Amino acid sequence: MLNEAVQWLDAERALDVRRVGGKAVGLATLNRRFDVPPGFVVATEPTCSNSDRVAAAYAALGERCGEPEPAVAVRSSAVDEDTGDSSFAGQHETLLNVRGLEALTGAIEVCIASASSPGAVAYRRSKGLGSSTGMAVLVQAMVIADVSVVGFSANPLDETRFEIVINANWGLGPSLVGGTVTPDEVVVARGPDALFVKSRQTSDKTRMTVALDLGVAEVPVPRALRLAACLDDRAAISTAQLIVDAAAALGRPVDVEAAWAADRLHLLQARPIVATRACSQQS
Amino acid sequence: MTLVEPSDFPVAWPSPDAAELLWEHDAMHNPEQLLPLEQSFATLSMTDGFVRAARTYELPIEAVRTLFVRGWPYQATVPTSADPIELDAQASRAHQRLVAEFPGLGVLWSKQVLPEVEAELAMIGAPLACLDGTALADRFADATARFVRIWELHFLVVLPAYTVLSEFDELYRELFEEATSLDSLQLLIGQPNLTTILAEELWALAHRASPQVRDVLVDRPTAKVEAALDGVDGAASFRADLAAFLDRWGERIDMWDRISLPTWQEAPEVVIGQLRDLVLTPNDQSPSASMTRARKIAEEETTAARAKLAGYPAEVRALFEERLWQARTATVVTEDHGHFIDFGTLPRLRRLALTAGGILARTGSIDLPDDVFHLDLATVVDNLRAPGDARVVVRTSRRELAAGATQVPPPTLGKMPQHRPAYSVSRYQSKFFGEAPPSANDGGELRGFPGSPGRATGTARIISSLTDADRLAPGDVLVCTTAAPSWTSLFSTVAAVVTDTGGPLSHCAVVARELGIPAVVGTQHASTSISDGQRIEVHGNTGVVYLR
Repeated sequence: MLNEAVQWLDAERALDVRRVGGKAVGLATLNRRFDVPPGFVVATEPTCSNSDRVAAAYAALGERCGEPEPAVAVRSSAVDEDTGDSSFAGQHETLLNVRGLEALTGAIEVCIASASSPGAVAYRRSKGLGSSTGMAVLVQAMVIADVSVVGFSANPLDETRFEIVINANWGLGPSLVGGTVTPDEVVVARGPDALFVKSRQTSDKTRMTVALDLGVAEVPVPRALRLAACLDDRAAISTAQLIVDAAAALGRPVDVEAAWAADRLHLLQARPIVATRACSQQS
Repeated sequence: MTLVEPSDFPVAWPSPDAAELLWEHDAMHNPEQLLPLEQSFATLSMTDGFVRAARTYELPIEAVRTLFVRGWPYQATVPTSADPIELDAQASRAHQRLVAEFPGLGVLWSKQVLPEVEAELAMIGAPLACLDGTALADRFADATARFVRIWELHFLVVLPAYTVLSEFDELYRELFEEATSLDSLQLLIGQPNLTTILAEELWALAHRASPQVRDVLVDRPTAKVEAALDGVDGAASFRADLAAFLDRWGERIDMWDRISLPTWQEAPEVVIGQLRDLVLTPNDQSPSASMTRARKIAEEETTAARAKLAGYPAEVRALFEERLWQARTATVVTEDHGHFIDFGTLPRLRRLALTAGGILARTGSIDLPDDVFHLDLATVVDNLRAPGDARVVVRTSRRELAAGATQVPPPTLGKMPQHRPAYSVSRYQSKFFGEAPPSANDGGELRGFPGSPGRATGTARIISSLTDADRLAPGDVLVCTTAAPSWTSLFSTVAAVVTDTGGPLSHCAVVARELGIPAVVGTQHASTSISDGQRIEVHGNTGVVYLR
């Protein structure tokens, strides 16, 4: 198997959270049951250079994806992130649609550096955490989403009701989680036999994030699609089912980020919900 | 707000409420005065034909009125409501109705509209021999009803067709924020349509001629060509070729609504005049070579657009492909329909009118058969049924037209409304008809709208008709108020085109893009600001003309 400096999400051995961070461990757990984009974690290793291992891992990922230099999403996975008490949501870096080893290496460096960003440092202090114990970096195959969804396995306003609240927008995740766009909202409830769509609100979705040749950009949504619902009932129910299953797999209420691409639903992130009282999970 | 009424352009308003409307002069379709009989038919095409189609699409248009001031045509639209909110709401509904037509547009044209138009044209054009006044009056009534139906069909297909083009352009510019309308429309060029096919056939006619015939075409003034062909090698086959061409394409009059003008069949010098320049133009500028280049450009631009959209949501890519396909269909429809409807009706009405003129001249209602055009439709029909003395009417008409002939008609009369709906039809209209150019024209330069990309320099010729186009030499710049579809062949030989009227969707712009020559449209003043013979530089991409 690969050296510990680089660990694959689908490794048979359980990942060491002290090396790869909470986000990666969470995804590795979910990877056994869900369609998580394939990838690896560059573990925290303050003294050694990872470049050869990263290069080898990237090449191996390329073989798995069927193209030599696949587009990847590069994300931080802090050691104490997403552990249930602290989510660090929005504090660390995410770089999307990175292609090529040189760009990947640069992206990894940016993610590692984000552990010492002023915002991250302030967040740690506010949570009573010590200084950073390390920053691992997740590298996964890029999903070019047609529709991005975020959802909560419990209604954040009233957790006693069994309802999945899903927000959706066209395109990739950033415009959805960034708060610049009013997304569609679909509430899925549990009926006697099955999940069903309880209510939906279709918004005027003015902007979306799309993949460029390299990187991503936020662009206007064509007028004809702004008021079109991103998720039909079937897709909403499938999304809700994923959220329910993810919560079951992690054993706690979760907020989920997922992406629909070519009619397949990919799980991007599942975080334990930090506060169960009414509060926004998005920064 | 009352619009300025130039003191030398008095208007006799037919009613007090007429003065409250906004009247517009459509110089793109009617750059010249119309005679009374022409006015009658032009009126019917809009007040009846257009309004019926507008109702089908639920456009917020109650009625259309026409007004002729010493022959100069004006038109006013009466909205269904005075409430701006209600107007906009109805306009949105109309937009949805039009969008619903997009997928079936090609079928609507080829399987429904065109067959019915051809049937109606056949009835209007049925033989006229041996008809007396009463029978001919009945034929006029019949023809009028069919004419109105043809124009209803015209707008039933044209309203959605232009809306498609406008929607595609807007979608493209939403997706590619730096793009201009010229960029989007470049994806649509290179598709053969009757306008480009006509140009090709005219080209072929010129280039099939023997070298000796071609020498005659180049060396002799147009009026002398026919006589000069006698005894020339290849003259017989050229004459046969020309006759066949006129058989196929000669039933046309060169400007909208002008039934008082001769057809190409009647006055083939118009065709011969175009052949001279075509002979002098090299093969790589032929319409088919230009169309091949245009197709390649369209394919390259489409490939580039698709590459940029590769990382966009599937729904967005699907929408783009759908609108692109629909816009390509619409491009063909917007050119083809004119040949059958706009121009196909005119020669048939002309024949009816001349036949009536013959009868009225015999009964003494008018002096000469051609005077018939100075009578409106009702007067013609009345006098056919019961011959009276219409000569005073003819004299008055001639006097009025003469008085108007030296005037420049103001673009608008009456009162500006407080609210004009921002709905899709008016959006496409401004792309078709043009709007006021971006900034005031100053001494060294003239501003209009980009019509077709590229740059060219040449000698300006101010041209008002195809006969006038005799003065054009290859490499000149064609400057005109408007260019009708039959002027297409000129575009193969000139270096660039500049017009007063129109926007990027006007016929002139469309054809200029197909044939790959720079064009600046909608300048409002080019034909009066530029001098005949002046050297000018045309920048199609920016819509600026530099005057030397």
